[in-house]
Amino acid sequence: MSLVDYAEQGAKAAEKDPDVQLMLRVQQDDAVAFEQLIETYQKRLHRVLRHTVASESVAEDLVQEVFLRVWRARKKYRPTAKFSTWLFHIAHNVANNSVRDFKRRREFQVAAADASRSDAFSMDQMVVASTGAMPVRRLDKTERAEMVKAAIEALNERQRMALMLFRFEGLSYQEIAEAMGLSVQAVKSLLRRARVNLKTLLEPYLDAGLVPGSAPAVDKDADEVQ
Amino acid sequence: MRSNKMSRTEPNFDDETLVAFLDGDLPPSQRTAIESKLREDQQLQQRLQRLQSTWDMLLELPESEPSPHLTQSTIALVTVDLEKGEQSFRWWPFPRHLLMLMVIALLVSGLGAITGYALSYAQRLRLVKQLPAIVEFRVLQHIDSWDWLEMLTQIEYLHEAAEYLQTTGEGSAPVVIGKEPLPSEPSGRWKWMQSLDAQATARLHANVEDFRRLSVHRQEQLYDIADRLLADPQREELLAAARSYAVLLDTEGTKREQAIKQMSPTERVAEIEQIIARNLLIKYADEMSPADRNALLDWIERMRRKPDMPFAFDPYQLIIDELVQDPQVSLITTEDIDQLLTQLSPFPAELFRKLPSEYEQRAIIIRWILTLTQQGDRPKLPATEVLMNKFQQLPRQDQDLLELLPEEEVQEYLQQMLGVRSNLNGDS
Repeated sequence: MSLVDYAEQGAKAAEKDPDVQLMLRVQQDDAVAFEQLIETYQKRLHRVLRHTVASESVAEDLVQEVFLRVWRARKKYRPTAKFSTWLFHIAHNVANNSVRDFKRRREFQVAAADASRSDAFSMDQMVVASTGAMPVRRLDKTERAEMVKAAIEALNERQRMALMLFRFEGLSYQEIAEAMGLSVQAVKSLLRRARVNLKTLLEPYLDAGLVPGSAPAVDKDADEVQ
Repeated sequence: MRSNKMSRTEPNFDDETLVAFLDGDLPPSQRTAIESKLREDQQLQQRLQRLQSTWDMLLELPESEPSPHLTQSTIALVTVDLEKGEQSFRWWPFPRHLLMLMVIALLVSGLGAITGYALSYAQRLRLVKQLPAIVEFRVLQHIDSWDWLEMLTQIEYLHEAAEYLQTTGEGSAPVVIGKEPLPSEPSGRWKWMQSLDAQATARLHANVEDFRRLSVHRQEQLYDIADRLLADPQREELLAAARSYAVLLDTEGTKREQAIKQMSPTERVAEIEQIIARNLLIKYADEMSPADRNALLDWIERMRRKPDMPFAFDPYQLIIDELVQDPQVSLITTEDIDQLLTQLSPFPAELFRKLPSEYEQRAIIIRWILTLTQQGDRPKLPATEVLMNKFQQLPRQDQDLLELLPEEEVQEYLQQMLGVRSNLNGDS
């Protein structure tokens, strides 16, 4: 498919997208439409960004930063794709800046480095469970959820972002490519590597209930795609 | 991941190729090759299954819920930005409630002239007056009286427990608004508000919203506490106690938090002391003194040698298995637990005695034993390793039978054996 085809496809998607219509109202300084967009997307943005940074409050700050940028950019907005594609493009940039700031200033903890929380969690649960204070089924479910969270946070930033957009936000390869500034082929490759990494991280847990940290080291840098 | 890139059984189909196959992204020739191989290769089928299962596990990711104030504080943030950058913005198309939010945000941000026009002098005075309660709202909302605040400062190890919970990530302290503390003189408060950055302004705005949702009586109560706090020479100490208390409550979950708040002050102090004791004992597991570590090891050894205690080569697991039993039926009795406590140094012993039940005491001892077993320099118990070597030379069925016998018989048997493999069934 040529770039022209993609552009036409994007314009058609925008025509049908009710959120694009809301954004066009925001462009005309309609605050109600802006509030509606915040209500619609804040939870989704939070979910994606929560796994990029270490803490809940930093994730919320990033969500606010995304909407602030939407507001500032409203006059330049052009409906060339679905609104969510444009929004997640901004989110991707905001998340990248945040991670870069972290690396530069070391002020924030990167979520991926915070593996100790999972260990502490399971140890505490073990103690609590041994007192009979917690039903075993609930413990299993919670622990599995924590394992999945830890595995996702162990991926590198690009794999994590692509995965969140694909698996949880339901964006197509093309939409993720636009949001992340990559080619469709690169997105596919990124997602495949993410999926293989997840298998490595979660497989021991499927087998013997081991935590992901006990799996072989994940090749976090193996996604240098163009 | 390098180990996974190539299949152990079929070098042509690495995991990434299999993912492409699952996604329907392979050219027909490669797809057919995999389909054909799949019919006969169980390992390949299993690898595909695992890729799919781990992918499906992602749906178990916990839901994330942003704060309920996020919309309001985002609008406040945008409003502040708007005011700074776009003086020509058209106000009139905004609905009234949104306009009100923006006006409040502007008030909070203290942006000079526009705010002054937007609000009456009386409203501004009210805000300045209530500001001490609003700024510390996230901390003070848990404090129902001045007496309770003073009682909090008397609770031992409150700060240590809160600090520990923050380092583990289980509890978090309310965010402090502003780099400088709020001036005690009302005349300086307006200037202080003007010095806040956009994030702090948005947080203050969210506090205003929540504070004004309280009943007038509760607002006044909080205002009185905050005002008194501001003038108190022990302000920092009192505020730190309230902050640590907020951290502890944060770890207890909403229901438990409400239950604690309903208790009488005396019951509440006891409950808080239990939470502190539990957490500091967990912390102590990682930093145990050599004397307490030895006391624990001696106790494990004594428990292992108790009459009727079954034999096990892993004494730690043996003791844990007994500790998780009901004290009424466990071979480790209440007296045994007391005996351990008398051998510990005063600090952990005192914390243990604050725990509400023997179940919790046992849980902490389990935690300590688990920590011991995870430490790199795992201490060896006498003779265990020698016996273990002999034991491992036995056939599996002998090992199973031996583990049912009392320790003394097992030791005697192993020592007689002297490396000669025999059939235990025949001997017995």
